Amino acid sequence: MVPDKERPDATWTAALRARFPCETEIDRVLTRKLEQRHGPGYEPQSLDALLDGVKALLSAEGVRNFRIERLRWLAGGASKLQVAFELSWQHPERGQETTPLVLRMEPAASLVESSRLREFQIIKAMRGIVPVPEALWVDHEAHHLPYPAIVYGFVAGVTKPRDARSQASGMGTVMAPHWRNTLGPQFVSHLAAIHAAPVAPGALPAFDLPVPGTQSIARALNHWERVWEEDADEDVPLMRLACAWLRAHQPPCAAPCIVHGDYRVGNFLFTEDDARITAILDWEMARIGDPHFDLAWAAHPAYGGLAEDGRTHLVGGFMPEGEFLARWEAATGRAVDRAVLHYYKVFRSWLQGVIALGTGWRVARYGRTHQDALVAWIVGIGPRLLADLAVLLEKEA
Amino acid sequence: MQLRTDLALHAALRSLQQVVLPAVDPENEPAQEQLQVVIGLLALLAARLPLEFTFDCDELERLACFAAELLELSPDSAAGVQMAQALAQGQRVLASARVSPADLQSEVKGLREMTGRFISEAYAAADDVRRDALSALVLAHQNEQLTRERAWLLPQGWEPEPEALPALEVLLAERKPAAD
Repeated sequence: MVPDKERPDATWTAALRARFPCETEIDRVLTRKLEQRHGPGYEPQSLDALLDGVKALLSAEGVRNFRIERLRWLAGGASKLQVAFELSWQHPERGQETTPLVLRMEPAASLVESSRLREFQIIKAMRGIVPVPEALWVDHEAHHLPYPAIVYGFVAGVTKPRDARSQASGMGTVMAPHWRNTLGPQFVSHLAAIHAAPVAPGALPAFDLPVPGTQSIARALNHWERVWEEDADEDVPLMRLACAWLRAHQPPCAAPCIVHGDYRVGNFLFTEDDARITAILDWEMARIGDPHFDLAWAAHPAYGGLAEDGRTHLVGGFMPEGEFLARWEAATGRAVDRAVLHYYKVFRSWLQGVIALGTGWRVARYGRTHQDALVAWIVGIGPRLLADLAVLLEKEA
Repeated sequence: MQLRTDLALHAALRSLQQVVLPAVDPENEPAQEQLQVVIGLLALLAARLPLEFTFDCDELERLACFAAELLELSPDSAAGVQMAQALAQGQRVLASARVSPADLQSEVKGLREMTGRFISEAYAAADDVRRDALSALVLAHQNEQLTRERAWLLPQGWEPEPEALPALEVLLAERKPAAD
């Protein structure tokens, strides 16, 4: 019996939770998603309403005598709404100042259902390790704003150079040669710094720290297979095969570390005048796990482009995969295990299928986001992503 | 195949109504008017597209009855002979059009669900040899299907080598006859 996924009942939700045990905070946001699914779709928010929400949040956080000005919508990203504004206030460390900030808020349902609390904590934890915005406040249960949100510092920069070509959300990016030499090494060194960052006890309470072994990948598989079960409208035999293969071949991870989860071109800012990466963004899929995941994700063909020879794939549009991996090994002192990397390539391509064909279809079809047209457009990349997945599984066979 | 016409139309409509329309200059009357017309046309399509096939079948059926009644008035005229041929052709087409696109999509969805469940269970229970056989079968089927879906979506521009994909018309012309 196929359940009515648009009106999930408590029995079905409980069965999914029991079948796919996830990290505590991930279980909370996925369960909330199902509980709210039969509710209203996304309603456009006015800047005035968001202004009131930010004021309420700041007041609740004990900020006094502040002034908010220049609210404006920001473009970019297929998953969350973003509004820039300026806050005149007494910064606890720097004193009276006007701080440019960003409100990052979920729509009614998202291309990636994730936790603002986790995102807030990981950005705070990465401060001083890699360039990130200053994370200031979080309203993870939407007590003050219409939907869960975080407020962090506005960082100057662009996600792609004016002379780069790319598709929606940074896909298919081709960088001009001068960007490869300047941004490329930073792209790898920042990733290495993320993977070398200590997981300080108590710093990330919204993350369940895995023990070495297969616990982190087992939780990740549970997380995304649960999302597929919750969201997919139309089954895909290849997705089932890939999931079965991933279950049967889970590689142990001896030293789980912080994994960005969506590390790729399009998810960092840089300044064009000095070619400097100014912020690593979009930490919503971060977890503690195997660093091979980030390597496989960044190396996806959709997130890069071909070199001038028309054959060599450049990771992120920057460098061939061999050079990318060698630079990461040199920066971390860790060796890339090619079999584990292959596993995570299969995992990443399967996961992208979950997002594009499962969640993307559902949130766009039922009008749950602030940009259904963009999400619907992204659904169209699904078959291309699955073709890559098929090639990876054929190599395995 | 998930990016169907209904999804694209609903998403485009919401974008036009909620994002674009409020941003169009209210003083620009031609732009306001044309955008309202575009929204109206898309809304009409979104509402009626699922019924289009049934509408055409319904019309053909009633036309066939109408033509049969007309024939009784003057069956042997030159126009009557020609109409009788057209009527027979129409009735043949009608007889083969008993399944609606909605029925077809529902069956696709159902069989996808069942094959998916079968794969999950069979892989978990199989030894390595059977897993290899299962994988080969799934991959062969999926490569055929994905090639068609990618050809369908070619105008979106996701393909790195679009010229390497066969044309959708060619692929669909290869359609296998239905099994008995």
